[in-house]
Amino acid sequence: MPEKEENKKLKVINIGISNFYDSLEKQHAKVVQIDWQPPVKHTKEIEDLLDALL
Amino acid sequence: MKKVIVKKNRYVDSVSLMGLSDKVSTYENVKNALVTMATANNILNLKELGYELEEEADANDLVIAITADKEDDCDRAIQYAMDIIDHKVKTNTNSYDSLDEIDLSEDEYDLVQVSLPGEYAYEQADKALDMGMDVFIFSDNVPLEQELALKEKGRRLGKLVMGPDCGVGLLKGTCLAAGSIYKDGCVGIVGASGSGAQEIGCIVERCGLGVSELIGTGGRDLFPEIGGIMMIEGMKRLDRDEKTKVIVLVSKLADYAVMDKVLSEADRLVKPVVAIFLGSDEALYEKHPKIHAAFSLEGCALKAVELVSGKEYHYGLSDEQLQQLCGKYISRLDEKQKYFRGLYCGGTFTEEGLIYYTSHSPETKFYTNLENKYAEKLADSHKSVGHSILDLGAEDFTAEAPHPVFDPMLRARRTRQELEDDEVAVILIDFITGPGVSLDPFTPYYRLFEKEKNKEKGGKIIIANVCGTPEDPQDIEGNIEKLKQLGVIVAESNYQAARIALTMLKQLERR
Repeated sequence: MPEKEENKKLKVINIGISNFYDSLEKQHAKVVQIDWQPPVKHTKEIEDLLDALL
Repeated sequence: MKKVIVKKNRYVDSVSLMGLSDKVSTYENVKNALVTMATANNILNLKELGYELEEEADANDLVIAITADKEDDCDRAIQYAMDIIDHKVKTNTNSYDSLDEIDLSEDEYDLVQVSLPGEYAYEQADKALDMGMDVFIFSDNVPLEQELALKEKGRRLGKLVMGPDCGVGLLKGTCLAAGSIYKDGCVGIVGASGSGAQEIGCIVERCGLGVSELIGTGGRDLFPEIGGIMMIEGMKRLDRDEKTKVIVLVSKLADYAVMDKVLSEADRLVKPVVAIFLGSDEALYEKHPKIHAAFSLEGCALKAVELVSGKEYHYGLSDEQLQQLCGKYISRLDEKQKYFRGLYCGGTFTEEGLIYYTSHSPETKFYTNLENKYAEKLADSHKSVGHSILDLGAEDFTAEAPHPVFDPMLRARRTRQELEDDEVAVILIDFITGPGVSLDPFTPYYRLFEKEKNKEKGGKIIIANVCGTPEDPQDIEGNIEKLKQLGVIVAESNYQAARIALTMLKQLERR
């Protein structure tokens, strides 16, 4: 059976550099971006406070 | 007008900054933008672009520099840059906050491409494998034990784990990260060396063929701890692939036992295999007579083409033509010009160059910024000595500025430094193109090269290799033409560029 047209194109989830998202879009690949954010890093003082509260 | 602001102690990592300047440059009424950390080198870059910093700044401070018609436009662009950094604007219309939000039963995806700082890459890649997708990891600084865990899991699930530290890939005709776009074809490539794999694909295309898939493995795949897991899985996948007729394996020299294991697995494949482990000798292949051994990237590509088409291709000038060409250029030099400077941005290109120079001229002393057996390490990477061969994509340079394939400024400035050295005769530069890298890697050099061309006597000889395809967005054909107009010798491959450079050097020695 011939492959469906949409299955012939690469489908990508991009996490990180948005240039790479743009590059995939320019190539007409199906692409979505994850707007990833680094986890919040607490100082030792705040960690201790949170530990005491929770 | 030009406006510069400094955000004191606002550190943004280089991965997040990558591409940000380009994005802000395209914002409303903006003519030029630079968003960068205020390292000594970047402050120099800013000055070269005509920006004045009104306050002291150091590597922990963020600088946003904008050129636009009006101050209002500058202010809006500065705010836009800050909003992107602070994640207040979604820079892409089609986006989610996390992988968990995507329901694959409703919306299918093949692959997750990860380019986060190394410490965060594993979690996302592992999740992607659990969701049933292949993974491509551009991030470096991922711990080796995490790489092993991901690759073992990928093998168990029948999924690709390309990387970490993987620069190029091509699946279903779409190129990933920093790679080139190839015409569809029958040569399948598995590469542990990014620029090496990219060059082979480009030469294959120039010979009229195309690439079925390019599976990058990341540079550590052939470390003993990983054992070549993805190179082996990748070649098996290409052996099953209907389109692929010949399989190419490319890597720098790796652990002997792992290379031997990879070749033993390749022996069992149905399709013909061409392999290059850059810097290896013929002894590696003694137990593997079925494998077609190659010893240069160009030779590897041409062998693959020959196996498919039955035609033998030859690249480069004959020895006689080469001697004539070099003689013509050298006659225009001053007496004191005697040194060669290789200013590479491709890691594999640097290594292939070093191997060529040192094996063809063992009596000549070469220096490099890399730690290897081929040449003496420079005391200071920022100052060339004698014949110096530099990898400007190595960490001693990228610690202070983006990799030159993404931002040409660092190497353009180093090129100017070399051009100002009266004892330099020959400079070699590689250009790498593709939709994910700098969209204009050429222009920053044109003014420099033009100045050399216009010198009556003593203009430097410039040799270039362009690794890219006409499908890439950088118009390589137009730019090759422009380079030639500026007197640059454009070689057909990295190997040919090295051959021209060394012939020049030998003629200089005989003067």
